[in-house]
Amino acid sequence: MKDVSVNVEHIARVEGHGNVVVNVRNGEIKELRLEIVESPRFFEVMLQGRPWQEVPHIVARICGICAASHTLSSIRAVENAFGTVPSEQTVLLRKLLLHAETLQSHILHLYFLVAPDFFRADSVIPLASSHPEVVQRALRMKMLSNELCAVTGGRHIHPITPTPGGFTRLPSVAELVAMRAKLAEMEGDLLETLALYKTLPIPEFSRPTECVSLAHPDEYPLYEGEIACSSRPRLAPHEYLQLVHEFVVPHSAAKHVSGYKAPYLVGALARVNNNHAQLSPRAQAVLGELGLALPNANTFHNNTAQLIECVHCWEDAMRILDLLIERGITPEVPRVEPRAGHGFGALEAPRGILFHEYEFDKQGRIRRANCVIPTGQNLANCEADMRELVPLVLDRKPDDIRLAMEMLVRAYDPCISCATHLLDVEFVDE
Amino acid sequence: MVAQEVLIAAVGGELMSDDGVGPRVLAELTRAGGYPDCRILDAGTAGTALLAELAGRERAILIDAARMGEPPGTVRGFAPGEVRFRPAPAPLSGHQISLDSVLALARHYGVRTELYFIGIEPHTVGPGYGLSPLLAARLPELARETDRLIRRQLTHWNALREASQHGHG
Repeated sequence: MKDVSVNVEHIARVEGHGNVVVNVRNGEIKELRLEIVESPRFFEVMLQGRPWQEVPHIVARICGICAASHTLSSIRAVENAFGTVPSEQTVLLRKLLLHAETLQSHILHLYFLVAPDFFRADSVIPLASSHPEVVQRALRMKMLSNELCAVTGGRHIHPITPTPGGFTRLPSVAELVAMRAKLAEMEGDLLETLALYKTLPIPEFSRPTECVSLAHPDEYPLYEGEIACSSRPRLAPHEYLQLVHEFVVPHSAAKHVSGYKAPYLVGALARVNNNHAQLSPRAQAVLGELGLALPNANTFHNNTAQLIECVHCWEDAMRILDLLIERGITPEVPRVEPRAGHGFGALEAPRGILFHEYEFDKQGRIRRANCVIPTGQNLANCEADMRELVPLVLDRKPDDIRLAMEMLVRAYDPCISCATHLLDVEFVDE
Repeated sequence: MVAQEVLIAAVGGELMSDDGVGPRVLAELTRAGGYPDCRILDAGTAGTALLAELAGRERAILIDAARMGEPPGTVRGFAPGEVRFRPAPAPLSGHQISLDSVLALARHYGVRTELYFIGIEPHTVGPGYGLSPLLAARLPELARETDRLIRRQLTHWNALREASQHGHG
């Protein structure tokens, strides 16, 4: 019988942060956990007492990769609380921003985090030397989607123009026309990405689970909708707490989220499983080409679902741009009347469904806030998957077991938002 | 066309205590008047998005929290060649793609920017909005020292530019 100890420590930046721990004795799992360090009252404490104008800008800093999702979810919760209804133009621009963000986030994930595993590289850095054209393509696509974020959100990093009621600065038609042309040119890179992805061997794995995402009658839902679960009745956004039973698990200072009676999955695969009929035409075609069986219970296909969503977001972004260019941009000034109120924003961040809930006093300052992020919701499901995967890979060499566990965790595209950004240096010649 | 304006960018997360010291110090310096001929950027938690700012730019100063083995609040300027970046384990999350990884990728995006770093030793980088009390109390001093290093580096680069324009390069 096998004794295996896998302790993938990511302690370079923060102790005990993002560790994967698996201990097996005599073929039996003794210890298994994914350690995410996240203070349980993190967001709530941060937002308490803040005026409504500051809230979207603070939450944008939760995540540099999915800043727009937090900003937009936050804005929708504020609008919900104050009874503000955004214009159709505002909604279109927000959807465009979300497409841009989803695209750049998925590209980052697929090329910088997933691809190195398949090329047996430790990270994308060695890949840049061994497969320069692959990395250059990734950077081109990421830079272009970041540019679309900047045109719609005001800057590449941490959007600044979206606000409750609309935008503080609107893009010009000329800017939209320029972006439309650049997006059309991205087709070649998307096709190359698809060709590359087809060569990668997706690990065999199956663990059916509840899939939770938005649902909408008229579109593939990223911006708004009801909450759909694969085998339960739909919920309105304000009923999200019926789904999200939060409790604190001792080893992980994160709130461990478990829906109804079992863990559930959020993210691209959950969205595709629930809403594939509404994907854009080219995305549907790619879905068919990749032969993805639906509903799909292989977590590794979250990566496949992300690729399909890249095509969808690209195609739908061009559709929205065409619509905006045809109609022209109407100058609009955001108008908000703050009042005491309670608001909910449910939106699909690249990594999964995201909830922001706020209670305001009559001056429009936060009395209470809650934010449930996708990665927190996936933790229980990820550990259940790990538990299922361990016996299947136990007979491999320790390094291969470690790689299998890491690939599983990476397939979730976890947003370990408490990662830090500091430099870690040693002076030479001292 | 290479951008002549020097980029002064601060990197760091304001929600992780002293990890956000870079943007915080830069905000102080901008309030005090800033550097009129330079592009100032709060790059926050930007990773690869920073590459778009570096592409086509000749020179950049990057201000960031840095573990340098110094007492908290120490401010040090250094060129890339003066340090070795400690290797990080394979990232599980896009957030764990370090700044030095992003810069290593930069060459593959045709980025040839000459970089100068200003590192500020953090006290704590745990969750928290705002600097640790230790660094918060020393913010004016951190800003002064960072300003001194920025001006020294800009002067150095200006002198090099003038020398090369007069054929002494």
